[in-house]
Order: sequence, then C-alpha cells, then structure tokens
Amino acid sequence: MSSARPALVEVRQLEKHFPIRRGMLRREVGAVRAVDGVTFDIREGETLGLVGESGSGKSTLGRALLRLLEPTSGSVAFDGEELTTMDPSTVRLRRRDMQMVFQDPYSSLNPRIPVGRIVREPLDIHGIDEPSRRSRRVDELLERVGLDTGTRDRFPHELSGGQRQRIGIARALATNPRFIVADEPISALDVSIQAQIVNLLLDLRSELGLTYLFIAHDLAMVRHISDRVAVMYLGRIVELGPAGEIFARPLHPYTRALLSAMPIPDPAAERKRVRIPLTGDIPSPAHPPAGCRFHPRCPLATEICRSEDPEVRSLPASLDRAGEADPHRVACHHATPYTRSS
Amino acid sequence: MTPVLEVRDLVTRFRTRHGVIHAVDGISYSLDDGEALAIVGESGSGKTVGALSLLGLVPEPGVVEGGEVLLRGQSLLGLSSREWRDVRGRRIAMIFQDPLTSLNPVLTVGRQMTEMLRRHLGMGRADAEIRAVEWLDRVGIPDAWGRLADYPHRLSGGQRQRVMIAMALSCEPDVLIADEPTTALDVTVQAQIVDLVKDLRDDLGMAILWITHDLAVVAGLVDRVAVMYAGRIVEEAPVDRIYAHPRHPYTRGLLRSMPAIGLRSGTRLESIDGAPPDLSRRFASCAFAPRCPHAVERCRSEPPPLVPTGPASMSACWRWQDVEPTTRAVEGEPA
Repeated sequence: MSSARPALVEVRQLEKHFPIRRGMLRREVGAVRAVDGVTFDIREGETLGLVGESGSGKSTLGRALLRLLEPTSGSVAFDGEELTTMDPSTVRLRRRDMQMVFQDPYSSLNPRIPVGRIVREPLDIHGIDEPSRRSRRVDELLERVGLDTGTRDRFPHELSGGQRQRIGIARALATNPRFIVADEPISALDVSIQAQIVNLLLDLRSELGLTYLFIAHDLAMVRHISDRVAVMYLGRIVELGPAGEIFARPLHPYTRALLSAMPIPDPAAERKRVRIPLTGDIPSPAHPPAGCRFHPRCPLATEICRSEDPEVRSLPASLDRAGEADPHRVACHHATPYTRSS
Repeated sequence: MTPVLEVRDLVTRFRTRHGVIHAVDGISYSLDDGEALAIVGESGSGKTVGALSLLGLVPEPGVVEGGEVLLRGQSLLGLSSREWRDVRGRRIAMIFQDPLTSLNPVLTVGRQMTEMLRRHLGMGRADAEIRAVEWLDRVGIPDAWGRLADYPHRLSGGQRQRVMIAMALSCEPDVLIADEPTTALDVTVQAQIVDLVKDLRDDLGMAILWITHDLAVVAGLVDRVAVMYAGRIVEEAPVDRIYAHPRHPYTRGLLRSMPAIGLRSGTRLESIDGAPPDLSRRFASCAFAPRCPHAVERCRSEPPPLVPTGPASMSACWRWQDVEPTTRAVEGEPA
C-alpha cells in the first residue's frame, strides 16, 4: 500500500557534523559526526518512526531535515524542492509546510506569553488569514487539539504537561503543515497522558492527512504509530523497513538487541525472555569505530566487520502485503533475508 | 515472620504559603526479606515522597505527620540524626534516577566507597578498597581498580548507575529503595540495570522497594505491585494477578493505555481522560472518580476504603468487581 505513495521528503547522504574547537584560537580539532550520511524517503501520508539510543543522532537528524540545523552536506528535498541550498528567507516560508513538536513543551513555550498568543504567532509570522480572523482560527486550533477556548488567556505554567503538549501541537498545526517532526513528544508526560497525546496525533493524521517523522525511545509506542521504522546507531540508519517487519523480524543485530531490551508489561513474558546483551556503551560520535560502527558491541562481529563499513542492502521483506513487497533495508555484513525456517 | 519493613498509615504533608499539600495520605504496606514490591504512580502521586519519608529525607517544608515506619520491628520515625546515620546506607540504601544525587562530584569513586565501608562496617582502608573493587566488578564496571581513582563525571550514565548500585549494596543492606533508577537511561542500559538488580537480589536476598511510573519495566522484577494515586495506595496485588486482572479502574487504565501487540497498529489507544488531581485539597470522595469510566454517585460522595479482593490483593474501589480483566495479548519474544 505505502510503496505506491510518492516521497514527500527525500534525504540523500545527509551529514551534520558539529566542530570540536579547542584552545585560545578555537581551532577545529575534530567533529562530532552526529548524522553521518543517511539516505531515506518519507512518503506522503506515512508515519516514519525513528528509534535509537541517546547519542545516535536522531534528534539532530530531525532538526536537520527542517533546516533548524544547517546540514554539513547532502541533500534534503521537500515535495521535490531542495532545501539545503535554499536561501534562509525562502526556507522560513517553506516551513509553513514543515513543523516540529518538541519533547518538553514547557521549555519550548515562552512562559510570559498567554496561550492564545503562542498559538497565534505563526499566523502573524506567515500572514495566514486576515488579522481579524486570526483569533477565531486560534479558537479552532485549540478545539482541534482538545482544549477549551478559555485556555487562550492562560499561561503555560498554569497548565498540565499534557495540556502544554497540546498547545505545542496546536502551534505546529497553525500553518496547516503537511509534515511534522515529532521529537519525543510523549516521553516527558505521565503514562496516563501519553496515550491521550498519541491518540491526538493519530486523529490529526487521519483527519488532516499529515506525514510524521516520529522520534521516540518508547519502542512499543513507535511500533503502534509507525508505518515504517528506521533504526539509528552512531549517526547512521542501520535498518529501515515496515514497522511490523522490523519488530517481528529484525535483521540488524543492533535492532535485535534493542528489541530484546524493550520492557514488556507482562510478568510471564518478561520472566522467560532472553536478552541479547550489548557490551559496553555507545562509542563517542566524535570517534566512530572503523568498519561497521556497531562491531565493538556486536555479538556477530567478524574480521570483515572490523575493516569494512557495510553498505545498505535492500532485502525482500517477508511480509508481502497484497503482492507489494516493501523492501527491508539493512547495513550489516551478516544480515540474511528470513526464510521460512528461520 | 516479622516483615523487614513495615509502613503503617504514613502521612506526609507540605505546609506551604499557598496551603497544605497532602502528598502522602495514609499509606500502609510491608515487605518481607528478599521480597520486591513496586510502588507505581504518576508524578504527584506521592510515590517518591512516600519513600523519602521512610528515610527521614523529606525535603522542606514537608513533614511526616503521622503513621509508623518499622524496620524489623524498630520504629524509625523517632530516631536521632546520629541513629539515622546507622540506618541510612547501612540497613536501608537508596538509589535514585540521577546518580549524581548520591555521588559526590568532588570525591573519587574509590574514596566514596571506602569511606562508606569504613564508617558502616568498620573496615580498614585496605580491606575497604578490596571490597570496593569486588563490588565494582560485581556490578559490571570494567577495570574496577582503575575506576577507583575516577571522579563520577568521568563515567557514562549507565556506569554511574552501576557505581551507585555498588555503593548502595556494598554494605549489604536489608532493604534497597530504588526511585526510578532507570528512567533517564536508554532502553538497553535500563534492561542491564534491571537484570543486575534482579541478580543481586537473588544472591543477597535483600528486600526491594522499586518506585516507578512504568508498569512495563517492573513486570519481570517484582513480586507485588502497589499502585498509588493522589497520595494513597489504590490497589495492591501479586504481580501476575494485577497485570492480568487489576481490580482498580486506574490500574486497568494504565495497563490498557500501553500499546499491546495484539492491538492493530494505528488504532486509538484506551486513554485515561483528564489529568491527575491537585493535592492541595483532601478528598471526601474517590480521587479518581472524575476520570473513572465506572464512577457512580457513591464514588463522588464517599472515599472507598482498601478492601480485600482476593489472595494478598486489595483495591480501593466501590466497583472493583466490575473491573474487567486486561485481556492483554501475551507478547512473543521479539525475534
């Protein structure tokens, strides 16, 4: 189904390096390679989940896509238009279509400004609607995210975490975007509120036909909301495929370790599960290991993994939906397609 | 058998300029040797204040205003600060979400560990050092001798957690209190820490009080679960029982709001409407009633007491018999 959809966002060999400077002259002595050559598409109307440990580069990637961070190299095209070479004022205009929802709505909302103005600001900036109509539009947006219109006169600190996240979403929706990067939108919220926000994102997706990049570390939630999932490790996408496929038949040893660590809210299942242990910590993105970046922690690593960086290969997905196999991409020397017996 | 830890009707309030916050409003539970109990609750449920109350560590202006805490039958709440020092760290140890809360940033790992061992166990410097290395090794810190000279900031987040656990357990306490120790960690490191604590419990037989907001994390770790809401325990039951058939609508809501594998992806989750209540008022009703799908008139006029609902199980709900099982699909192993 989804492979027939055209790409809305096309990312090619994207890199974002942060220089490391030392000494009086702030000489550049190295770089943190937060995003280090990633290539993928986000299709119109789909939700692409992005998972990985902290330090994997997933937040940096989300920001670089919207050019909230200047990419070091590579290209990002939105609806066929190249963003990386666009002049900054044009990017600002294009950002009408591409918005971001942040993890901590409190730190992303100005505490001195009442909610109504926070939501209205993008309308003023982008000149959306006649000024006289804008306050009605603010009310519509508040209602759309499940807040009552009385909220407009309140300040962020008077609201609960869930209400603040709804404000963050209302503000992102103000410009009628087509694409939203949601960076850990539920991880700062209480458990009973997380499902409310996920439901809101699901409703908005179906009502407005939104496309999401959903960045999160809660793997169960990612599986639930995503059509496809990309797994990041040290600045690279190591595996990407249909969500059901990634969770049922992960091909990359890192994905397998990650899934084996995912807590299951079921005592019996949790007691009998076998974990795939990862040794050590994630290395510094300033000095990624040679060869496959995962090899120092990988239970399958052999000689070739220490010397050769594995290319991304497309393997046929085993879950062939309606005759349309969506490929499963993996960057591992040892990955083999699943067969019936495996 | 006398429980190692017993808490009876504990009440902790914060008297602020803006009024009284009823953070912990009469909670009771007990813990046997080697037993692990999870206290599950959202922010503001009173779960952390409840634990700090046990150790006499409630921050100002909070005061433990009522109840009893018994460690092997000995009352803790009247202890002098000198007596507290022999209990804290020695008999009850605590680990936190942020290891830097319990690690001193200007002292080396070795110095902190040996000082504690010398103070609590009266060990000499050399013995304490050997014991510290044994423990660092035991919690999976590579090159333990080398780490003694390190300062906490030199360690990764996961390693700091391990050092904190080594420090907490090196005096072999009777009770370990763990306050969301894995919340800030990546899922892989979280799994390692949970497994480590599980192994150490099997070896040492200490009792564990694990405080968390996450029902998934503790599923494989604890024997019993107590759920807190608005300063009270609203349900307590053995772990298998409570996940399969909770007897409080709040517990069920928490369990059902997590996506289960049987659920078709992209379908709406069952969420709990509304938000947790403001604790500046006391409830003459069930505190969960405004968010509860089962609420009837009685729930809004009379606070439900904790009543037995089965073997070792209790719920504070007038309608506990109407709460449906979760019918959670049992998840298979990923791959």
